[in-house]
Amino acid sequence: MLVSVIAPIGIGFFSYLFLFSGWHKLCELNAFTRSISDYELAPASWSPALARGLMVTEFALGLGLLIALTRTPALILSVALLSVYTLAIAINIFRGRRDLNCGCSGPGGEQPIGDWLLGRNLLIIALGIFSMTVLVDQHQAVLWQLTLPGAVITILLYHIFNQLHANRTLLLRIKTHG
Amino acid sequence: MDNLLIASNIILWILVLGMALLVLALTRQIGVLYERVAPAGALMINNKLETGSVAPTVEVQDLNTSSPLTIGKAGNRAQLLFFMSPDCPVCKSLLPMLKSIESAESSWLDVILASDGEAQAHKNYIEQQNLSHMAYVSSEILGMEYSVSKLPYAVLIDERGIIASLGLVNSREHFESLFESMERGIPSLQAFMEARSTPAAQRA
Repeated sequence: MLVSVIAPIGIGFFSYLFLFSGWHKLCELNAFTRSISDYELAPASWSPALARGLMVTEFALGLGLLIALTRTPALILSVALLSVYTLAIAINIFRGRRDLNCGCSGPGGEQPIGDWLLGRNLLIIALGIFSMTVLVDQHQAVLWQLTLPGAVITILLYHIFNQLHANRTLLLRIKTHG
Repeated sequence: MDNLLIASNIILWILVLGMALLVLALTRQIGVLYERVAPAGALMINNKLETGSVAPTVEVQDLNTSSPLTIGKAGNRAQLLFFMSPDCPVCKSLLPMLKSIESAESSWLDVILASDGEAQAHKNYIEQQNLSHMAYVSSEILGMEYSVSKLPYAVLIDERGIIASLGLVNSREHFESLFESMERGIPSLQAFMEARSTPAAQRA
């Protein structure tokens, strides 16, 4: 029962996450390209192609999660992509580059990488892995009347977390200068 | 009894959604508040230049008029150099402010937008942002001479060709602090805070 409720919440949330993220990358493609270069994990000349590729992949995954036929591979790839992003953040934290802009929250929401962000991503990855359990039990009826508001709440919590993280950065700036 | 439970459940869901929306709105408002009380002075981060020093003179070409322009030259008018990039979202958000500064202070100040890189990207940006009436220069040497490492960055040069104030700018308040520094003869907000805190520290 719990799995049949939580797993579709995770899928709904992942779909929103990638469509939202892809949309922001499309709106500010140049800024995202610069963020990729700043991570210094691939040659700078690859950044424009990588930015476009990731933006398209995110849109494809967001849509793929909504379609029953493509849901399984889309969910697996979503978790894999998020794991790659998290690894990129972890490498740069290890390098001590904590002032690096995450490049993951769209325009106006620049946030530096840090333990908070790493924790958030690990939590989302855990939700994604848990959601995969629904794939082994396709016969269970999806309780949309529960999963839809659940997914909306998860999305709102995600935005609240991001806003709190942005507030923390602003507060640190005030403390540093005050 | 079943109906009562269903109704209660629906009401609870609506309440939880409402509360989550409320929390999001409150966190957003706290963010706006932090933004407003953030240090209202341009952050001076220039190891090469300082206020009161002679501004480097650089010959550039205005992309809009194709006429030559001398940055940092002593004359009758002051210059506000705004270093930016077409792919910098914060720079874009400050453009309306610069347009308003340009029209309000046109009697004594020239506003010059400065960047570097591919000319075509700048021409597209000028068209998109409607900047054809402003002085817009693209010069790598200019950025190097003024030691600009982060964007958006502004330098206010007085009519004698002396750097009046400079620093990273992110808001209207930061721009105002540049003009305030020029009027009061205080190099930067950091210098002001330091001067204010030193006597207090001595008293303590």
